[in-house]
Parts: sequence; structure tokens; C-alpha cells
Amino acid sequence: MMRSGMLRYARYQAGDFLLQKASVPAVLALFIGGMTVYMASRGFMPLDWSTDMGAANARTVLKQALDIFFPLAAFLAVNSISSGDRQHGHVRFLFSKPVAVPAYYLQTWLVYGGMLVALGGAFTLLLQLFTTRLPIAGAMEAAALTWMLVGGLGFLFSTLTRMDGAILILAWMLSSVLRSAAAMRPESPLPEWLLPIVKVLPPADRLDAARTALYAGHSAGSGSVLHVVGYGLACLVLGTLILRRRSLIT
Amino acid sequence: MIALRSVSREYRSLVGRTVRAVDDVSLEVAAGEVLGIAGPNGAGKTTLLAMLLGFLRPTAGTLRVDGMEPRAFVEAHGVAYVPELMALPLHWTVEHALHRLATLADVPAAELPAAVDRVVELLAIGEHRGKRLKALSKGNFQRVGIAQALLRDDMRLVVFDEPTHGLDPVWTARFREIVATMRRPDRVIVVASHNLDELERICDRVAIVDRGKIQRVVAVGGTAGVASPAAAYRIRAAAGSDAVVAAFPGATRSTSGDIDVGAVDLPTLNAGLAAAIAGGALISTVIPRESALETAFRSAVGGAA
Repeated sequence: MMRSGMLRYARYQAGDFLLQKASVPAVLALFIGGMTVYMASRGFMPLDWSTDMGAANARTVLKQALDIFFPLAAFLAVNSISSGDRQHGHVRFLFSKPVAVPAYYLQTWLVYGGMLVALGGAFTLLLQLFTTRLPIAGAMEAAALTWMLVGGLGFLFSTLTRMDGAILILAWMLSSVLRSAAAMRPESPLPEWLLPIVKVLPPADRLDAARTALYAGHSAGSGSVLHVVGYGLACLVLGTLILRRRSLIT
Repeated sequence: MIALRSVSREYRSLVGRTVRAVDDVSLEVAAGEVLGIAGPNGAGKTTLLAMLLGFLRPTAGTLRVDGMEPRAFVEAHGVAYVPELMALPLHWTVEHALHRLATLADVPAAELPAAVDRVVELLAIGEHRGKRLKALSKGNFQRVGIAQALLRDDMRLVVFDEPTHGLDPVWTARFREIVATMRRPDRVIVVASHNLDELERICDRVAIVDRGKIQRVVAVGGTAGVASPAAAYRIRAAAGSDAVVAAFPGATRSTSGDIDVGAVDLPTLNAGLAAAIAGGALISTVIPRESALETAFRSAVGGAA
């Protein structure tokens, strides 16, 4: 059973996310969205938000801003999520308290994910106030899918190594390139033997497609959602099992 | 309350080299006891404590705290622990750090401000409450480390790893008082330190660790009694020093005129003193040339420290 102290500790984890993880990506997203809205309001750009073209442009602005905010905030949040405490020795303070290690990091993961979704919704609402009706629920779903995949994968890597950030970037880039190449079948430049390996790489391409559909106000597609959520959840479960087994210090 | 049976811990490097940091250690510690752990650098003290706290698993043997695996015990009850290295995020303020760690320690929300006030007062860090940890001196940072360990006063296991490292003499003495007040019949206090004098003053027994093994367990302090091991003494006599020399075979005179007596146990010392007094000696001072613990330590680690 989770102790009340652990649950109350969530407010500190939420504060950590806001101040240390999400602040820079949020400023970037606000800058991108804000600049467009400002230029349109001052007549520098011929945008009329009330027309179909204006609404499409507003969704493009949303996509541009959130395509930076979600992946960057998710990466910064999950980077070193557990390895950092081991590396810096914080584990000695944290886990001499009556706290289960997997529960502590799962709660951190959930709080960070919840904050990312909430900020995605808040940002979209803010942009909507200055433009036109935007898919707020879709943006929040995009945030959740991004966190499930980037956050789940990063959580697993962080339980394994202190190089988790670099490995996450590498895995992501590798997956994006190889999965895009594999999707070009039958003209795919990849050899046949590589295709089964590509299949088990993180579904970065499916996440991108789902997010694009969601920003446009469409459904993400149950196939993509299941793939992304299933992959992230599997990583999360595996990471939790490793946290249960591994030594806290080396 | 603590039982180690043939506990070993090996580290394996990437190139396959194996180092045995703790080697076949067996020890029992009863509730109510204050146990010291002494040993030279690299002796295995910190690894032993890491296993006791469940941070590391033994590679062989069993370790139980109150009948439970250490990690399960810590998760269920928590441990008052002061690590050797003070590693907390340096941008935290003292107040923030104590509130966070008290929350994690499951101090009830209604009692949390009072718990923080209590440890701040106990460790006299009130003037530093609003400071960031990076702005603290080593000694004050160490006091914050001790304060966070004492946020709950119902912990049944207390572990101090080099607790007075960086503390000035006043706070070193104050720390001893704090440990004395923490003694409880249902609590075990474990103190690892290089400072043998400190261990001798606060502990009931001291385990001397070297090369991963417990070389010796020495009874010290108030509970040592007549079972304490032999120690060497320096005796000063206001009159009749010849009687003192005669009472202790092998005794020698120092350049200052005092009489140095070789290692004797307490009954032998007292019998010798009685004989010397009966022979006309007027004893003014009897002081250990080196404490029983120092003698045992030197003998156990072969001067490695």
C-alpha cells in the first residue's frame, strides 16, 4: 500500500517538472505560438483566424509549437529519471525513508506525464484564446502518447545505465530512420534480414503520424495508439522489474 | 535485531576482475545496542552499511533486520541514516530539503512543521533555514544531514556513517550527547567511524573491520566491565613510585618519572595498584596510554590505519 507521505511528495515532483524540466520547452513553445499570433494581430501576416484557411493555419501553429514542446519536455523529464539519483548519491537519502524504489519512480513518471498532458492542454487553450477553436483534447492525447513512448523508453534506459539520455536519442534517431526506410516497401533500401529488427524498434513513425492527425482534429487511429501505448507500457513494466531487482548503488 | 550470517559482497569489474569487499561476515546486534564499526579506508565498512540498508544485496550469506530482508525492513519502517557523503541537490534550501525529506519519511502533514522545527533547533541550524545547501559550510551541511535523519524519532534502526566528519569539536561533543539521548531498548544504533575515541565514548561494542572481514569485536564504554581487553597504562605516583614498579612486572619509568605499565586487564591493574598502595605508593593519576579499543584496533589491522 502506498504511504500518504509518498502521495504528498507528488507536489514536489510536480514542482521539479515545472521548474527543471518543462520550463525551457514551454518558453520555446510560447515563443513560437506567441510570435505567430503577434505577427497576425499586428497585420504582418495576412491571417484571419475565422476562415477555414485561418483555422488550418492555427492548427499548423499548434503543431509547430507542440512538436517542439512535447518531445523536448518528455526527453528532459525522463532523462536521468532514476539514473541521476544513483549517479549523484541522492538514493542514500531518498531510500533510507520508508519508500519502495519502484513506487517512487513510477509516481515520478506518472506525475511528470500528468503535468505534460496538463501543460499541453493549457497551451492549446491559451492559443485558442488568441486564434480559433483548436483540438484541446487531441493535443492532450498527443502529449499522453508522446509521454507513453518517450517516457516509457527513457524510464527503461534510466534503470539500466547512466548514459540513458544519449541512448534514448540514439534509439529514437535509429528508429525514425530505419522505420521510415522500411515503410518504403517494396522499394525499401533495407535488406530483408533487417526488417524483423526494425519491427521491434520504438514506433517513432506511428507516434508522429498519430500526433499529426490529433493536431488536425482527427482520430489518432486505434492501431497507432495501441502500438505506441503497448510499447511504452512494456518498457515501463520492464523498467519497474529491473528497479525491483537491481542494487541502488554500485 | 540485526543478524548477518556468512555475508559476502563481491564486485566484478567490466574486465572480469573480482574484488571481495565484504568477506564471510557473521554478526548479531541486539535491540538496545550501540554498535561501532571501525576500520581503515577500504576495509568494507561502507559496503557493510550499504547492505544493511538494502542498497546492495549480498552475493553470499543472509542479512536480516528484525527478521526481514533489509530492503523490506527499510520500506516498511524507514531508517534514520546519515551517509558519509552529503549528496542532496545543492539548489535546495535547508528548509525545502527538510520538508521534502520529512514528507518522504511519512511524517504526518499536521506534525511536519513541528518535526522540522525540532531538528532545526536540535542541530542549531535555524539561521541557515533559508540558505541554499551550496551556501553551507561542510560542518553545517553535515548538521543538515544529521537533522534529516532525526525527522522521525520512532526509527528502530539508526545508521551513522562518519557522522562527525566536518563537525567542529563543540558539535562533535554535541553529537555524542544526541546519540546518548537516542538510546532506546527497541532501537539499534550503528556508527561507522575512523574516530576510535568517538566510538569508545558512544558505543557498547565496536566491530573492527579490515580487508572485508570482522577481525575483532571489542566491548567498550559503560558495558565493557571486567571483560574489557588488556590495555597499557601510565601511572603517576606522588610518593613511593618504587612500589608501583615492583607491583607491575615489566613496568618502566618514562623520562617524566611516570611509570608505564604494559597491557594489563582491569583486574590485574587494580590488583597491582592495591599492592603498590599497600607498599606505600601514593597514586595521583592512572591514565590509559592507549585505549583498549586502540590497542585492539592496532592489533587487528596490523597498523594499516
